[in-house]
Amino acid sequence: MTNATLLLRQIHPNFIQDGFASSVAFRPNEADNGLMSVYDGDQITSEASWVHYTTVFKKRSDGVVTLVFEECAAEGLPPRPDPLPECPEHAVVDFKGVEEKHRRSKSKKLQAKALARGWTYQPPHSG
Amino acid sequence: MNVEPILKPRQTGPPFDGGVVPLHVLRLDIRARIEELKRLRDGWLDGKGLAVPPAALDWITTTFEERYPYDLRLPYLFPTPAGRVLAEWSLTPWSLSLEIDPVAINGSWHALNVDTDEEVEKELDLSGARDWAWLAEQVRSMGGVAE
Repeated sequence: MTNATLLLRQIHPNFIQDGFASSVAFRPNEADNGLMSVYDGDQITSEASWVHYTTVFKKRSDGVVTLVFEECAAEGLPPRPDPLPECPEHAVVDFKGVEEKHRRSKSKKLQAKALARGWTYQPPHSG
Repeated sequence: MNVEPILKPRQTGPPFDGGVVPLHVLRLDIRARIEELKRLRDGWLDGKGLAVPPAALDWITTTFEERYPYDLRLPYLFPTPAGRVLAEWSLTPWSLSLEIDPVAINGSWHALNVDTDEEVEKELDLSGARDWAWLAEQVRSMGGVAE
């Protein structure tokens, strides 16, 4: 990973309304232990990450948005590789250093950057 | 920085009173979205995620219709994993949100200017008119008047 590495985030359909992705999708939930899962864009494309996520992990995603390593790090949310046996491209954005009450601000900053960049992959049935 | 949703809500709706009313000020918008949220069941988030009780969702519809001014932009509505509803307004550079607990009938307001990091936070009592009026004034002052 480098400062320019793209981080690919899957967006659950219930967090999308009229093409707008909720800030909820840009922070870990209680079960995630403070780590937000992404794919390492140096190793996989947005479309391939969506295929992997929906077929191997069998989770729902209606699109992929992109964050950049350095913009996460600048918010105090350091990304790092977190390879899994079934997903060597897996990485995480670490929210553990941010108090719970400040996480919504961080998630909104990430949301704004990602939405300004646009969807980097949407499956044919979405939208 | 220009931060706009990729697909904006439709800007026009059906004829009404001889004219065309912007869809984002139609009450139907909130009602239709709430009906979608009613279809969620526990586990809606890939096996996690609590559903919001239907009666509580109906309260959101009714309260928005009664308390939220017609001339303001309507929020996007999303479920949260904890079984609440998050209302979000994207009013660049402001990102506004109200996390609604429709069972306790309160809400957590958060406004962030993503360019300057200026923040406004407030816990709201959503059972009466006073805090709804405060919320409406916040939305209005941050550019939330419907075009």
